[in-house]
Amino acid sequence: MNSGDFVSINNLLADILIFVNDETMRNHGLNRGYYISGIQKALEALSLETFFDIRTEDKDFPKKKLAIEMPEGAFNIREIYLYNGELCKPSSFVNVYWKRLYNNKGDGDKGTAKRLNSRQPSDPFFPHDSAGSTSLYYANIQNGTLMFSSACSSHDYVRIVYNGMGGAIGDEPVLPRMFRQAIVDFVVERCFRALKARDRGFRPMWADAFQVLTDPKNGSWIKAERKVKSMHTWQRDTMFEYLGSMNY
Amino acid sequence: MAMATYRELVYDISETLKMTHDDSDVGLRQIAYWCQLVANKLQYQHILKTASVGQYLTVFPSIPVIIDTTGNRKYVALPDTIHSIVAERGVEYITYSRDSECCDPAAFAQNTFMFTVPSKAQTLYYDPYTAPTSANPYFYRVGERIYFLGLECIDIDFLELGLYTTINIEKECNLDAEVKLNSEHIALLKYEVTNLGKWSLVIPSERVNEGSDMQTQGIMQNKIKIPPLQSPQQERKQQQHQQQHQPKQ
Repeated sequence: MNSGDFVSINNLLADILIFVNDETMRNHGLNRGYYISGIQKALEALSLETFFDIRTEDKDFPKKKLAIEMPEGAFNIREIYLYNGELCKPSSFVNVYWKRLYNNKGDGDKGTAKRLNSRQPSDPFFPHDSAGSTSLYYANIQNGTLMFSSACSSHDYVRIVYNGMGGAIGDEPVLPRMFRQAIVDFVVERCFRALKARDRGFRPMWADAFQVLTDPKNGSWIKAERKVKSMHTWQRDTMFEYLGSMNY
Repeated sequence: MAMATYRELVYDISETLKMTHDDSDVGLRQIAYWCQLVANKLQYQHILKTASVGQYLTVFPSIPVIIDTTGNRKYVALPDTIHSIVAERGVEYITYSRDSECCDPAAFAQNTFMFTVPSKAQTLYYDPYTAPTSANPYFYRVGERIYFLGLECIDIDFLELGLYTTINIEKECNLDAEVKLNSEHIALLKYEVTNLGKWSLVIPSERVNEGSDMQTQGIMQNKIKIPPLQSPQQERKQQQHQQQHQPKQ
């Protein structure tokens, strides 16, 4: 499932503060920033587990360096395209593929790769590569840097589609409405975890909160994951149609 | 609902003390002072128990912000004495007005200062969400001043403070002033003050120096002897034992 409906931080805080009995934010020594930080961490954890946060970023292609940093908050690259035209308005594009062990670290248009594009008869083990073409568009990632092949320099812009971690640390989190309960429970559990370090009396409350969040059948976390991973009715309907037309 | 005045309470308590100690000579001012002490204690306990008591809240809408001589530290001087409660809850809220539309909620419902202490201030900066800023300001108390974190980069002239002020014993000396206490606590106040009075009246008579002796033993001491608990059989045996061993006269 997917949703374009979002809720505000204050909307979630209204629930969280009541659940941890801290509406004045003076009872436990936990301040507003701590609660918002918890919300952001919940969103980050959901993003990493469910890949729900899909983002697109368009950039000028670095034709000389052939390398750019991964977008902030990105942890999983889904697609890369190179295109000409205007920024965010492609007129023609090509797909960029991943090439294992390609390395273009440094400031230049040439790199190294264990599997080469051109034939290299002097290599006794791998004298022949599979592609044999110099106009392939590929890239690799090392330590957060995307390194492109020299053929990519024929394009002006790059589009990266990636999974984000729910926004940069410090930004106001954008909270999908369908995750409301999971985020609330995550923050409540986190608060009681902090409080039980100060006072053992909070341990039963933490245990309750932990159970509500992580119960493998009915926990709010697993429910959130299920929501993300389930298909839209539209997708399911189309899928049925495809499968129905197969001749088997 | 009109609250009780000091005069009503003081005369009431004075009469009560006369009933048990008809020669007592406790001045009205003394009783009024006791009333203030106890009223402050009751206020404190009530605020502590219920977390927030609007009756004792005093709002100071425009307290000037001052920059201290040590540098760029902004503070306000407390306009009155406040209850010293854990997590500085004698300060109910601190807020400042922002440009807002007429339908926006009150300033204290939009932007309030969080409580902190200087030793925790450094860790606040570890997380961008807890870091003090003008949108997320903090306060801490140093004596009769309230200092702020997060206001370093903005100019601000006045702040609004909601404080749980105490009854100021030095200033409040009008017997016809109302006692700032819930009516249901008045009975408790009377009980506590009467106890204070009784204690003060009883102690001097028990520790009086009779002048018969200059030694310290001459001062009478109130020692209560509590007999050990015994069964009726044991008591009877003890009486028989005493009768048998009583010296014959």
